[in-house]
Amino acid sequence: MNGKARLVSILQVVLPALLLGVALYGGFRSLGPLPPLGTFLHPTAGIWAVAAQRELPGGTVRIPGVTDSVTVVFDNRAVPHIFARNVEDAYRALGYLHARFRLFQLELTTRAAAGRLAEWFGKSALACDSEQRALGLAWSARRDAAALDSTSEEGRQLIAYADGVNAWIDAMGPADLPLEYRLLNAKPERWNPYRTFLFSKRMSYTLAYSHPDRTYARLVERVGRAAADALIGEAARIHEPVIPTGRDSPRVDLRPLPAPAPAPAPVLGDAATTLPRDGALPSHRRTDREASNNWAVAPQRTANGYALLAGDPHLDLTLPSVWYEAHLVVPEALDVYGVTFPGAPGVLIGFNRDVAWSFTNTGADVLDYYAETLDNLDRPTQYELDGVWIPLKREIEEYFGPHGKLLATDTLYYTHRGPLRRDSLGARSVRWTVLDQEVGLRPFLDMIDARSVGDWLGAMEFHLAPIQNGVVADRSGEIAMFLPGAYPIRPGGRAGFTLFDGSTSSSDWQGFLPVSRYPLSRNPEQGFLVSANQQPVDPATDSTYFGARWPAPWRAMRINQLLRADSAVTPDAMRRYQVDPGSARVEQFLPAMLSAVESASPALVGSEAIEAARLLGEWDGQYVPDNERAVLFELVLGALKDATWDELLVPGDTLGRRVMTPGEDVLAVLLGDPTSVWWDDRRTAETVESRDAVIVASLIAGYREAIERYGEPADGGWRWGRVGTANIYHLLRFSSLSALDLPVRGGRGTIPQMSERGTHGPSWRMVVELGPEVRAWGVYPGGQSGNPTSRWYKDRLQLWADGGLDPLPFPRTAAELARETTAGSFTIRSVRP
Amino acid sequence: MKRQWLEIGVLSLVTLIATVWLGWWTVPLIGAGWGFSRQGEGFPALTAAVSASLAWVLLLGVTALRGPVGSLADMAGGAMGVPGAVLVTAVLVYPAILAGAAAALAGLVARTQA
Repeated sequence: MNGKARLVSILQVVLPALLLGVALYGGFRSLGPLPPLGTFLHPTAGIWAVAAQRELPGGTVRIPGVTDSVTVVFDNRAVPHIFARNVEDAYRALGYLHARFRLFQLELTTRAAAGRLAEWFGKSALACDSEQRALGLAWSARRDAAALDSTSEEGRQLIAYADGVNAWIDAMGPADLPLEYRLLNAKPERWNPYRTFLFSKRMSYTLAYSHPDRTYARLVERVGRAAADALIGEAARIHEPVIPTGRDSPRVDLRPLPAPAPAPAPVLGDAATTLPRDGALPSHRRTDREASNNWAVAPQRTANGYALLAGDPHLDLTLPSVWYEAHLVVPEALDVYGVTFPGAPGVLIGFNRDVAWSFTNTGADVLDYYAETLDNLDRPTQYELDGVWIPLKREIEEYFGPHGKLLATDTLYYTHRGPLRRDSLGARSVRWTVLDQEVGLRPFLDMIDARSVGDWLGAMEFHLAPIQNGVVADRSGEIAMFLPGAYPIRPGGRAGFTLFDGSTSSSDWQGFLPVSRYPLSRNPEQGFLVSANQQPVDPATDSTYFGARWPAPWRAMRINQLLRADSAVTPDAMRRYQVDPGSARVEQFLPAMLSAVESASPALVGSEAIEAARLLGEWDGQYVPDNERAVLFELVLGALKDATWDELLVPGDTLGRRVMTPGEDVLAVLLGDPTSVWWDDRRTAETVESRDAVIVASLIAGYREAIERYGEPADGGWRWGRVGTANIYHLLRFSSLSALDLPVRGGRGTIPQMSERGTHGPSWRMVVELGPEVRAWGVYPGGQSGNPTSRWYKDRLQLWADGGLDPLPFPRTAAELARETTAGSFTIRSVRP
Repeated sequence: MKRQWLEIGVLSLVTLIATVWLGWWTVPLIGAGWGFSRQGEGFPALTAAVSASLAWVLLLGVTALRGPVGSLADMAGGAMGVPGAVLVTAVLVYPAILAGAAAALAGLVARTQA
C-alpha cells in the first residue's frame, strides 16, 4: 500500500470516528455555551417543541391536595377566571397557572434573590450572587419560612400555592420545558413557601432598598451640613404631598438655599466611604425610576356619581411582565380581580365587588447602617456593644456553578441588627425592616376580600414592609389614602441618613411609629387623593422624619392640576390622565428659560440662545412622539443642572460626576433667587455668574448638543418618538425575545414617565368605577404567556403603547362569561387515590 | 436506484419512530446497524445520513404544523447569536453526521471482520 492509499484508509477511519465522537459528546454534554445538542435539536421534544406547546391547558388537571373541583375559564385575553369552593384550592389553581405560563420567571426571580444565579450563569454571576447574599434576603426568607406555621391561614395558603406550582412541574413532559431552560440547559426546581418569601424579599429590595447615608456624608464634605440638609431633601421644596393639606395649590418653600460652605472638613470621615453607594445598583436610581401613580376620586367629583380609582405602578418592564392577571372566585370568601405576582398567592392590585385599590412606593427610609467595632476585622468573632463583646452569628455561604461544582465559599456575619459588611476601611451592620421577622404576606392576603374602605384599612394596618402609598375606594363612595408600614423611630428623633455608632445600643431603633401615626387621609374635602412617590406629608403639618431625597412632585402636581380642573371625572378621563403628556416640570422651567433670553440684550445673548429660546417658545409642553421640541428642553435642562451644581462635583473626577444631583424641585425654587451664590460657577474664579447668564449658557449648550446628536432642527431628527421609547427586554435581555424602541407618550416628570433608557415605566394601568356593578379597565405591556412564540406573549403591547385600556370582564360565575369571549377552560381535581 | 430510495424511505421511517419513542441517541445506533449490515455495499453512510436528515426534517415539519417553528428559530437563534436558519440547518446536519459517521465506522468494522 502506498502512502497515499494508507492516508486515505486512515482518514476513512479517523474522520467518521472524529465526527461521531464530537457529535455524540456534543449530543450528551454542553460544548462551551451550547446546550447538549441531542436533546436541544430533537425535532419534537427539543427546542422546537416550544413552538408546539399547547397555548392553554384543557381537560382535567390533577393537583394533589385539591379538596373540591376547580373550574378555570380563560377569557379572550387569556386571563384565567378561577372558580373554586375554598381559598386554598383557588391558590392551588393560581400556583399551577403561574407555573404553567411563567415558570422560568418564577425561578429566575427567586434565584436572583437567593444569590444562586451562578448555578445557571457560572462565575460571571458570582459578584451579583455575593451582593444579594450579603443583603441578607435569603437569610431573612429562611427565617420567615422556618417560622411559618403551616396550620395558620397564611401557611395553608402558601403551601397550597406551592402545591399548584409543583403540580405543573411534576406533570411536565420533555416537550413542556420553557425555552429559557433549554437555552441554559437547566431544569426547574420544585417550589416551597421559602421561595415565595424570597420573591417577597426581592420585591421589597426593589422598592425599599434606599439609603442616602453615603450620599449625605459626601454632600456634607462638599458643601457643609446646612446646605447638605437642604439638598438631601428631608423636606421637599415644593409641597404637593400624598396626604392633602387642604390647599388648592402646591406650597413652595421659598427659603433661600443655604450657601455652600467654602471648604468643609470631612464630617463622618473614612467610615462614610465604606457605605454602599446609594444608587450603586442600576435598579436603585430612585428619582429616575420611581414614577408610580395612583389616585381616587370621590363620587361628588365624578360624572356618574360613583367613586373612581386609577393605578399605574411603575416597575422594570420585562417580557414576560412582572404581572399576571387573574380573577379568583370562592363563594362567600373571595371574588377578586387584578394583577398577581408570579411567585406569590393573592392579588396585589385590583378590585372586588365592593372595593378597589392600588399602590405606589412611599420610599420611606427604613434602612440604617451602623459602624461596628470588631475584635478582628479580617476574622471577626465578636462585636462591641455597650462595652461588652457579643459573639457574631455566622453562616457559611457556598456558591455553585452550572454543574454543581463548588465555585466559592464565603462567611457572612450578623449582629443583632442584621447582616455585617466589611472591607479594608471598616465594618458596618445594617438594620432594615425588610429583613425583620413578621414581615409576612398576611395583610396582602387579607385585604382582597375587604367589603369597605374601613375593612381594607383594617387589613393593611398589619403591613410592615415595603411601605406603600395605598389608595382605596369603595362602592359606598368612600376614598382613602393610607401609608402603612414599619416606620423606625431613631434615637432622639434623628433622621436616618447618617452612619450610626454601632458600639452603643443607644443608636438602635427605639421602636416603630404606632398605627395611629401612619399617614392617612380619608374622604378629604377636596374629593380626591393622589400619590406619585412624592413626599408623603408636608413637614409643616407633621414634622415626623419619613425619609429623604423625595422625587420631585411633578407628577403629583400634574395629577392634582388635572383633577382640580375636572369636577365631573369619567373613567375615560382617568385613562387619559394616566397617559397625559403634559408636564408640571415644563411649566416650572420653560418660562425661566424664555425670560432669561428676553430680558437680556440680544448682542450679549448670541444667536444660538435666541434660536434655542425661539424653538422652545413654539413648544406646547407636550411629550408626544411627533413633537420636535422636547429633546431640546431636556438637553437644556441637563446643561442647566451641570452648570448650577458645580459645587457638588466629585473632586478629581474626570467624568464630571457629582456626589449627588439635587431634586429638580430644589433647582426650580432656586430659579426664584437670581442672586443666590449657587449660580456662581466656582471653576471660573474671575467671573461671578448670574442666574440668567447660567440659563443662557445652558440654552446654548443644549442647542449645540441637540444639533450634534440629532441634526438640524428642521431635519426631522428631533422627534420625541426617537428618544422617548420603551425598551421592554426579555428577562435574559435577549433582543430577539424583547420589544425595543416602542414610541410612547410622556417624558420625565409626566404622569406616564419612562426611565431614561425606557426600561422602567407603567407596568400595569387600571381604572375602576365603583358603581352598583363594578366596571374596570386595564392593560400591562406584554401578555399572559411567558412563551415567546405564544400569541399571548406580547399581544397587549401596542394597546399599552397607544395609551388604551381593555375592559376587564368580571363574571360572577363561569357561565356568565359569554362563549364568544372565552379562549378555553379546564377543570382541576385532586389526584386519584 | 429505486431500491436505494426504498432503503432511504424505510430507514427514515425507522429513524423517525425511534427518535420519537426512544430518543435522539438512537440515530447513530440505527446508522451503525445499517452500515454494519451493508458491509460497505453501495453508499451505506450516505444512505444513513440522508435517511436521518429526512426523518428529522419530517418530524420538524410535523412540529411546524403545530406552531410557529420559523419564528422560534429566529428567536432562539437571536438568543444564541446565530441566524435562525443555522438552527434549522442544524436539524438537517446533526442527525446526518450521527448516522452517516456511525454507518461508515460500522461498515469498516464489518469489512474488517469479514
